[in-house]
Amino acid sequence: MAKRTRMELAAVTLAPASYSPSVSSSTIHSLDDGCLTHVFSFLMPIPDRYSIALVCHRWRYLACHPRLWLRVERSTKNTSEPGVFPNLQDAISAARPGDTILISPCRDHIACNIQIKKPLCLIGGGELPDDTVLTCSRGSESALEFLSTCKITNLTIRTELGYCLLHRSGRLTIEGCILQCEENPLDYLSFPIISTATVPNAFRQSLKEHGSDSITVAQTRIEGGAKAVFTSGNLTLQRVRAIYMRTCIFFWFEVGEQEL
Amino acid sequence: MAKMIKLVSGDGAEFEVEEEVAFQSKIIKDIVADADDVIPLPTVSSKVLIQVIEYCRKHAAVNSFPLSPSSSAAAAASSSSSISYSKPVSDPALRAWDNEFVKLNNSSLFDIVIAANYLDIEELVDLVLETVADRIKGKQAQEIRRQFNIENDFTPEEEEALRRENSWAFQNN
Repeated sequence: MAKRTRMELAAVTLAPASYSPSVSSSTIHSLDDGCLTHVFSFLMPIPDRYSIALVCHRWRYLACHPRLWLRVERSTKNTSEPGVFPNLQDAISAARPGDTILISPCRDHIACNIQIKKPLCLIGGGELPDDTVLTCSRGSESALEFLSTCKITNLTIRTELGYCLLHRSGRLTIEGCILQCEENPLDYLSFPIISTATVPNAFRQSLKEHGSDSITVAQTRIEGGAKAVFTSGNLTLQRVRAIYMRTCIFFWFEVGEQEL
Repeated sequence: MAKMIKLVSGDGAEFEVEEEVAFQSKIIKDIVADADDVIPLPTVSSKVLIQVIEYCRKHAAVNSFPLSPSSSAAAAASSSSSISYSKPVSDPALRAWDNEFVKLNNSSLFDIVIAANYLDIEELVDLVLETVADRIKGKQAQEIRRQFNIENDFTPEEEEALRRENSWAFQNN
């Protein structure tokens, strides 16, 4: 019974969380990488993982580590491995807002009318965007439909008939990608990027927390289609810079709200 | 009669515990299988060992079969290199006890999780690390550094670049 009392006294050491005693020397740096990564896995990507990435180099390395990414792998030998999905739709359904999805370098991923309603980052796992191809087959309106702020990078998106990227709302960032509309007699109906985003002008101030809708495209190759970008909302092509070469045009542009 | 195992802390204190309590630690279970019943734990102080034993005692009492279901699930969970989410303790009374147990300062929590990691007590590791995560939730980087005494080793340029890199995710930037 004396032992029991001693245990009770020792175990109950209530103290405010921010107090750091001089007696014990364990700090959060004493935790190994495995433990820290485990801690980070409990946190939602937005906003916490981005906050912890700003704390120090070690935390940034662990918080942004690909081990925390979801993966899409067409040939899943091990279907029970958590975080690995056989197709993009499943990965997107399982992802939490702010997650990053790594798509394995493979040329026959399918993406048909996939709606993305939460902030996600999609990354192609190959060396070049050509290595990871998402194809939208004839009969589907678009490969990816964005209703939230997202970023896609290092991917090829091909459409047989329809749109590669359908942007409804949010800030879309397209970096280092290839958007292809297949050549066919009906390709005047195809658009690599189409945006239908509208923001009611009268209430711009009160919608501050939603930010503004926009598309930013960088280092991306666009092939085919009637026009590179078609906007049917009140977003317009802005800050267009173009360099005309013999076989292609290099251009940089943004799609944003019409500046009043 | 319950078989007793003797644990010896780093500072020489001895603790006798029932076998099923000690076996909450997979390491101890493996050692006892082919060695004697006195187990030296030089890296664990008596203060921490007392707390760990208390946790094990509580959880051994609640789990009638502490070994089979959790150990195979734990083995599967720890071998995956992808995301792992915690499995919540199902018994609400036990959960309440756990929540009281982790009302400790950060330093004590780290001591306990380092010991629990060394002794391979999966549920205790999960419990403490989830508690640490709760203390990080919703905080900005600066607050987190203050709370855990972490030095900011980013240059202002690096910090700015990082914020920009991640700004795609934040609507109101």
